[in-house]
Amino acid sequence: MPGSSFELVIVGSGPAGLAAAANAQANGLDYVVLERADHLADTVFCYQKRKHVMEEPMQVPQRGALPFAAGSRESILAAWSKFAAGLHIRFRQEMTALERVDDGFVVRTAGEQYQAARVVIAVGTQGNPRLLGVPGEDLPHVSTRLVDPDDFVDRDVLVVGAGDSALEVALALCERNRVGLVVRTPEILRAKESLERDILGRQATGQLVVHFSTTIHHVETGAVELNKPEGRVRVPCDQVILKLGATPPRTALESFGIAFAGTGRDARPVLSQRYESSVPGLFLVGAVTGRDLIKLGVNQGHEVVEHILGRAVEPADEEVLRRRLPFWAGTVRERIADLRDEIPLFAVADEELLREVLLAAEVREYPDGEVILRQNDYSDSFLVLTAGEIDILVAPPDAPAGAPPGAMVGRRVATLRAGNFFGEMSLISGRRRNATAIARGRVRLIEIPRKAMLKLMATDAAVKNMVDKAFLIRAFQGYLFPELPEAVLWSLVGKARIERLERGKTLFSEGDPGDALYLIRNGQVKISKLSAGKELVLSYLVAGNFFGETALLPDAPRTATVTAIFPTDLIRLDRTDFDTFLAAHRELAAGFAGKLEERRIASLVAEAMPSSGSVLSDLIRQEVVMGTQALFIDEHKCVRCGNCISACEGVHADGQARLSLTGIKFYNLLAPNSCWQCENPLCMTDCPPDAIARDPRGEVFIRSNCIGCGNCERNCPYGNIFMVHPKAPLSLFGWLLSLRSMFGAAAAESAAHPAAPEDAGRTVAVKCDLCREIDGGPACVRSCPTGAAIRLEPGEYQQRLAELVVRSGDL
Amino acid sequence: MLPRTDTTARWRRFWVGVGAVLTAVYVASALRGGFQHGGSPAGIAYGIFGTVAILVLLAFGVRKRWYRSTWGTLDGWLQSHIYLGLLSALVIFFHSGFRFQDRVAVAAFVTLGVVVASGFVGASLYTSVPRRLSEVESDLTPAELSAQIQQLADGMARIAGSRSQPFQEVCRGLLAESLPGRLAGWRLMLTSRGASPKRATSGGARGGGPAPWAVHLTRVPPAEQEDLRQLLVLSRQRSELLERLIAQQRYRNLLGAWLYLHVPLSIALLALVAAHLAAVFYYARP
Repeated sequence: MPGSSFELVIVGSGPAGLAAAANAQANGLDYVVLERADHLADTVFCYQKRKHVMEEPMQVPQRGALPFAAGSRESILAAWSKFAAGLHIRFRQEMTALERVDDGFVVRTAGEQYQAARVVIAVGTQGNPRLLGVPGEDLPHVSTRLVDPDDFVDRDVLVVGAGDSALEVALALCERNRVGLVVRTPEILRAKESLERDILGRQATGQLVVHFSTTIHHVETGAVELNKPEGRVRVPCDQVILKLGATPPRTALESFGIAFAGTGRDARPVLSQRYESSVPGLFLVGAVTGRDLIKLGVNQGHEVVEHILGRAVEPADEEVLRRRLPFWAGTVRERIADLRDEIPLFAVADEELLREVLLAAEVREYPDGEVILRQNDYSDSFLVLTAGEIDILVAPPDAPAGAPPGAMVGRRVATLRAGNFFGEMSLISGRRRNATAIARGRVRLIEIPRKAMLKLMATDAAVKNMVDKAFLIRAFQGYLFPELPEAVLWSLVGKARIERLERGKTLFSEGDPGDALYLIRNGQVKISKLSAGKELVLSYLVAGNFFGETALLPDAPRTATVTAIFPTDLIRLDRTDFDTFLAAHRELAAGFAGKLEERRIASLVAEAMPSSGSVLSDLIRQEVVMGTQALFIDEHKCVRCGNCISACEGVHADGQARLSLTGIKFYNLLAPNSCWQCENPLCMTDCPPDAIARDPRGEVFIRSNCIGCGNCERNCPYGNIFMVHPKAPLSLFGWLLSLRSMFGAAAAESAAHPAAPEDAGRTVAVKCDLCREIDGGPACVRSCPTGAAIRLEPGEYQQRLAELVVRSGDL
Repeated sequence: MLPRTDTTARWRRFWVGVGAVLTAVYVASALRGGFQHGGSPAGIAYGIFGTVAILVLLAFGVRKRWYRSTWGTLDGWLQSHIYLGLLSALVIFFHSGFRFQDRVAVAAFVTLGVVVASGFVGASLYTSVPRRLSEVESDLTPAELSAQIQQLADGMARIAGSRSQPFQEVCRGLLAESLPGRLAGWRLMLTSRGASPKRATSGGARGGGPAPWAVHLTRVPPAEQEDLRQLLVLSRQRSELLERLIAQQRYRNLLGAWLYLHVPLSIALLALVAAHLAAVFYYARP
């Protein structure tokens, strides 16, 4: 057993700490791991039971001997536990102080102290869970985590908190227990919208109770006393689960002398390439460095010991990145430096984050004249031009769809040069491409997948700012000032700010004083007026459109009401800023006035034809307009044979239907629960394994790497994604067996579709993919014997639905 | 036949045209006196046409379940099925030369007639019933309605669980009043009241009808009357849901019931045609 003086002390026994310990042991270092809990890897240990843990990034090889592969929380912990049996780990040793001494450090824990030449901190970011500070919270039925929802049946449970994890715990428990959610504020403010919607929906159906504006007064056995707005209330309670977040470890790290890059919440510690902090001899690895993926932590843990031993070690992603950047010379660091010199967007990005982005990127070359992307395609990658030039062409709205590249209909609106980027409109708005890009000369570009780019924007404010500005400038160029150079527009877009408009909220009403112009960044709004006391929908606008221009005229009130149909991000430009800009560029005023006049005439025309908005109004009210391929069933033709569902089951290898004959009805039309292939698919926004993709034709589909987390099901506003137990394909024998169900054989269905043993208990997400893998189009439509099932695109809604709808008065 | 759309009009024109040509050929042949019976060259030609038509008609059932097929839409197949079915009856008349002697052939012909007639009824129902069904359908599917009805029955059973014997008898009686009974699905199609639950709140104890609430309340101890009221409310809700279910199930059954005649007889027709062909080839041997 080693003594209390070590060459290396590793604080934390998570993946990074264990990997460091494994390498230290392999190299004969005298080391010890200090773990504050009584078990390994507390962060992973605290995951919900059977949580699927992913092995990302897939492209990066894993270093060292610590076993780690994608799998359940239990399988990973079991593998680490077995591996750690031979390591020197001391449990229940929480570091309380770290002091620098002449020949190294002194690490203090409660009752112990350890001397070390070097210290590796691998404590993760969980920190200490926040508590309430009220009497009774030390009782045994108060906890800060939910291990297994199945442990709770028919019990009174109070969940305290309003973040994602609190809402997830409440949702996991509410079906089999009486659950109350205690929220300090009058509404849920900081959770994902899909979770909030789910919680409020379940509250409406009585499945749980949300105590808003409520705090805990005290906890006692069998009950909790709440401070509610109407007074103190005692509620029965068998279990209290506190989900109040955690105190981040930054304060503690700073007390050790570690410097951070910036003061923001997301600021990370300053580290050398050897993971050494601003305190010599003190190293940081794992999530505390800002890279929170387990595999990266394992690699850092292994590498930090190599550095301590004085060995030169390349980053684990070096070889992969060298292959990713074949046209540049030198080490990856040098290649990235060259890229940063060439590309302003990369120059402002954090280098470590850029490495992660480039891991997922591809460098592509195109010959002169080749189409790089096509207007109206649904591709959504982000492209950075590193060599050559690209012409951007925009086809007029009435151009024939699918025109061949050689006969490209459209006018050139811009030419991009090396260092520029494009694709930001589809990236931000989730909409189809709004222009065609054609190579001029030999072109080389870096294509970055949507998810990687969004992650970079979410973590690097400088990158986000630059992409947003470009989005705004190009929108201005496309709509108001086609010929104006970017440099001139910078002064205007610098004044813009982003506003969030929640679903159903009205931005302004007809008659309100106008004070700003808006551009829709993402989401959708409805423009309407009141006509004879009834709402008349003039139009609906999606991302990339401007509105509110007429209010930029002096003293002009708003001529219509604008309401968000979906959660919408708007870019706002105040009239005063606009006036200042136009005053400085008087030559632009005439063209701008012309645009305002066009919009005013269009509005008057819509008003003069009240019927033009009626069907559209219904559709928007029923939320159908978001779909690009909506399925409708004319109930006056439908003979309820169910062949559409049988066909859906029959053409998918898992035997599951992606269609349910329930849904929104208007008059004789049913819009059943089946994916509408939304223009901006909310299901894609939060898929951990990036399993939901969209092909250029627009089909949104789920790949086989779905882990069954259910995020997409929760995020779909329409309930069109189904979590199912995979069934084996229906064989002829199975079909014959299934016939028995006609005669009441209860087991016939399960015999016909036996679940594969390895899939028992596992669910996966399924959704309509328009039968993309078979010829002939959606099987539901082709298998309808009476032609009642039809698929419509938005352009067809107005005309076809007006033909099909038989209003109740006509019946 | 079926809603008037471009598709139906196209198929109708096509098959009416084919029927007109076949009729003209038959009439011309008959006027020349050259076509006497099914064994004549023209009769055999009509027989081959009829046999192929019957096989194509039966292939509809295969196509309906062959979901990956790219052989046209099922909508088009059904249109062809309807008009080809009508045409096949005409063609078999021509095939026989209006002479009906062979018993197997006559049996096949009669079966064909019943199949075509039942199909005609089915097509008429497909045209008229969906609109009526959509008028009585609620937002709940039959499965959802059934689940709610069952939930209410469970709720009634829970309330009655620990109550007195008379209370439980009332509960059993209320549940039994709503039982659909034997062959309710078939009876339902003949009359909308065929399997309708008897209202627990209407009628009277006299005459054997369901007892009104007041009568039920007198049967249980006063301490249980409040619970009984709760039970009766659930029973009323259950009856109303059942009525909604029955209203739409009646039309749904109408849409499906004719197939119980049409499909088995189609299979029987195939067997009879096979027997007819076998007999013809057997007796035609030199």
